[in-house]
Amino acid sequence: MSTDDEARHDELSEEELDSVLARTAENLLGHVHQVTDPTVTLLAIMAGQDSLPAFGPWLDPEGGTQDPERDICLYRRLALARRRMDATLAGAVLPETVLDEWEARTVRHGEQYVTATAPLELLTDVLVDFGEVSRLCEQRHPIDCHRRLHRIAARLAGLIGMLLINLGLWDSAGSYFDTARRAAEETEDPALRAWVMVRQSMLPHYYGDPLDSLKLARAAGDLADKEVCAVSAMAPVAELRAVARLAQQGRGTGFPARDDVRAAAEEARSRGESVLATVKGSDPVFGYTRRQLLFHLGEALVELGCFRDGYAYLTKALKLYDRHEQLDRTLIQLDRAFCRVAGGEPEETLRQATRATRELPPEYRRNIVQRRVRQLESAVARLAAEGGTRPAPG
Amino acid sequence: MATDDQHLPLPMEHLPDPAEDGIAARGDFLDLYDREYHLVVRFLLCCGAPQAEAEDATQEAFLEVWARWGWVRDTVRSPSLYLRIVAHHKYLRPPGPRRRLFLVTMGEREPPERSVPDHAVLTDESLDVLAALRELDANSMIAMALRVDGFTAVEIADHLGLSAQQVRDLQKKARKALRARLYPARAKEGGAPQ
Repeated sequence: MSTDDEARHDELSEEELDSVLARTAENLLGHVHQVTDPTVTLLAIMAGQDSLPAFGPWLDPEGGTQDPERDICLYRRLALARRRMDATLAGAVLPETVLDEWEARTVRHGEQYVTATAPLELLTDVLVDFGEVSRLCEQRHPIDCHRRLHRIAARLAGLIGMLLINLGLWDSAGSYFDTARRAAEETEDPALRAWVMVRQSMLPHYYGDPLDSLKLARAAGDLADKEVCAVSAMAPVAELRAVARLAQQGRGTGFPARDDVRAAAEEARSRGESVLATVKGSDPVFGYTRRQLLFHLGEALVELGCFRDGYAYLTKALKLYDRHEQLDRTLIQLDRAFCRVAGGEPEETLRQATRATRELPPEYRRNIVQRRVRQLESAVARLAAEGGTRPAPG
Repeated sequence: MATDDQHLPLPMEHLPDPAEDGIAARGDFLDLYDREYHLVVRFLLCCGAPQAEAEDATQEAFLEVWARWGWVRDTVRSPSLYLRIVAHHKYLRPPGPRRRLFLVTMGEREPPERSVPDHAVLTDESLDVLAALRELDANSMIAMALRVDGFTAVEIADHLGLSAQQVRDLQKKARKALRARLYPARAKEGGAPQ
């Protein structure tokens, strides 16, 4: 071979090498996109926001508690989750005990939702589990195992949606609820599908159009009627809350007569309590409880302007809540404060509301609570401007 | 080539001005994050990291770059390249007290054949290229992986503390080794396949 030929061949081979490298890079990138989820990394960065105070916090000026051990814990959890999953994937069949463990973890996340864990920290934990369960869902499994896995995935995705609502990240919350609905459909369990829908109805309730909330609550109720479950108690209440919000906005049938509202609330309470008496267990996240029923009915009544009845429901609910269920307790205190504004006690109301929010750890003072406080402040301001007349509900 | 954290420039004297606009800083960082996260994981896979460790090192690198973001944003010529170097350091970091967190101890690391993507997810050609890249010496591997990501010899030299010519030499050596590994017949006979 001549020197020219050799040079020509080298050139060809260089070009080929470049194309091979480019194809490999593209192939690898596709694989990386498929198997990695950068969300956890971003959450870890957000959770460690105080490390860079000059740039301020990621989410909320009062939301960042900096625990030097937090990142280490996060990494340990990541490692444990991955190693457990690696061990699982190495086996031909997913062991029953692994499914039991994931179900137990899901329930524990639900318990943490209502108790001690701050939303962002819990979100990080749940996302890690959700990522691992998603990977498991990609494998082929016997039908029972497939349904159980998708049940876990639906619950985790729904819980993530609920946490994102609390953090005010409504756009992502919607996506997670959609995912939860798709996962729930795989289980063919109407009660689970109804649970996702009724939980999703809270998204437009807080951040969107109450009409969408109403539609979702009704659809959830229809599904739940196929098999009596906790949602059979929750859906009518969600429906009433949506009606209240619509009436508050002057839409639909306008302000219903107070007697009608009282009657509807009483019916929802009566039906809800009898349903809950037949439902096994008492789970405030993946089920529904009497204290939630009373709280939500009370809130709906307050929004509809039935302050006296609303206050009574809220007071009953508050007595049933444990002290560590801080978020709901605070929201109830704020709703009760709203009733006091109606009773013409703005100063006392403000003191009460301030105390309620101050008792909440900083990481809980998120969007939902802050919105409620702002509503209260504006109602008090209106009351002062109007010289003590009843505030517009809101 | 530096492989220890202590060789990374420390930003203490470049702490961000407290008056700086935090929203813009976060926005810039998020742009980098969105653009580079998957690319950095891929870069580490090209450098021989198992999938799990590539993800862990990428996460640690982003955490570190965020902690130094004021300095990185204002001083570093190519934050994307700097990010890869930090991630590579995180991946290579030896056990011991300097290692802040251990996800899997060295003894428990997965064997390479289980830790790399397999035929189910990558083409035969890609697996061959990855295997060939893993046979390169460490310096040639990183220089080549950075080239795959589109960085020039000058940029790479700037971050690795080498001259551009040294980087080009490393890449030339790497390409020769890759050609020999991927086209053994041609390397032997000097002919191109038909």
